[in-house]
Amino acid sequence: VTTVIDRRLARQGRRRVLGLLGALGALGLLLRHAPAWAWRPAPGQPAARWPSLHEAAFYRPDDQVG
Amino acid sequence: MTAVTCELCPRGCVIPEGGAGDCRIRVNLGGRLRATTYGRPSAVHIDPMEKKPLYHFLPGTPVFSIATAGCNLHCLNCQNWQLSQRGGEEMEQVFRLDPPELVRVAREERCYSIAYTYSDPIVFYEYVQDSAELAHEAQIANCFVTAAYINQRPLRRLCRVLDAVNADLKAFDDGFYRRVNGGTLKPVLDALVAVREEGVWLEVTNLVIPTLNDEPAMIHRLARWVHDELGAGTPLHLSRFQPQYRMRNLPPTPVETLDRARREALDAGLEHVYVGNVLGHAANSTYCPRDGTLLIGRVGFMITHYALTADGRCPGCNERLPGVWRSAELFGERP
Repeated sequence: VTTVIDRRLARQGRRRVLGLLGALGALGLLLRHAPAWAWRPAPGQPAARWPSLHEAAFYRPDDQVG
Repeated sequence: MTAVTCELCPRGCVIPEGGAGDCRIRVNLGGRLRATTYGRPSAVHIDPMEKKPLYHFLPGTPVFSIATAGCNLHCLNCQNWQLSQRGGEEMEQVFRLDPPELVRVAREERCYSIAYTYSDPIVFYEYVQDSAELAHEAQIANCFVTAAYINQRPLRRLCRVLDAVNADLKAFDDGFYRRVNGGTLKPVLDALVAVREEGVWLEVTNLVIPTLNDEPAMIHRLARWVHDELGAGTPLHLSRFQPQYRMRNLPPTPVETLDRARREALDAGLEHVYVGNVLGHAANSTYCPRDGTLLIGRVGFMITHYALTADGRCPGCNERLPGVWRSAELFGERP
């Protein structure tokens, strides 16, 4: 009887440990990707894309090179 | 093929068509220079103002902090090298946050300021300029956390929309700049003077690295220069070095070294000298330079004691502390 109870307790313990690990993993994933969710584009807006190719300030043509 | 010369920073990169500048993110396409990370930050956080560090500017307020990839310096001890020493195409995360969206989100998050920080915001200059103008329209302040390796003309233009600058003066030695940072000292000193002349609130940070820039004589010269050129009330943050990136061979700065450096800076006449990156150090806090009263107590980035009057004075002797203590000083009272 003792052995059966011990096994049952061990199974419950394992399940709890696995459950806890799973919850921690899910929380980790959530935190890892939270910023992307927080700032994701609005529906219909294109996703973030690199580069943006904005015209830069403060430069001049340099025909000496190239 | 038309090359272009980038005139933003003292490097003056001559960039052939299809190439990028030393910062990796300013590229020459068809003879026109393009800022490739405009509106594309790779780091977006809400930080306390004390993290910048800005101790005399809206203390205790949240600041919406952004950075894109790239940097115009290459410090061997960079603490953000995953961000600063990469181009935009190498980043895992690139957010789309164009200036109007950035200001809208900062406002929604109830931030009083936006900080352009982490890497060096000089390299995403146009993004800062446009965002800062919109931020002012929304009564949000602009903080620029930089190594100040920038030319005078772009800096002075940007100063019109900046409210606070924390400038990293890495050492008072040109050889150090060349060896450790890949830059030079003089443009940085000129930039700090320009920020002061333009009337932008300025705090200076010096990271004290064992054996490289921790000589008392050098700290004294640096502090004396800050005193003479920027004013005795300019806060100086002496920060503790931690082994990082390509400088893991050196130990963290001993606290005694920082204490000695602080004494040198106080001897040079500076009134507000802080020790950074040492949790619970008494010199994290602000004291009245006249009567020594504890005015702002800090533990880490938390404020544990605040005794300044509403207009930034010591309650004991009525001395006005230099700084910007309320956003009303910038934008007037909010309705």
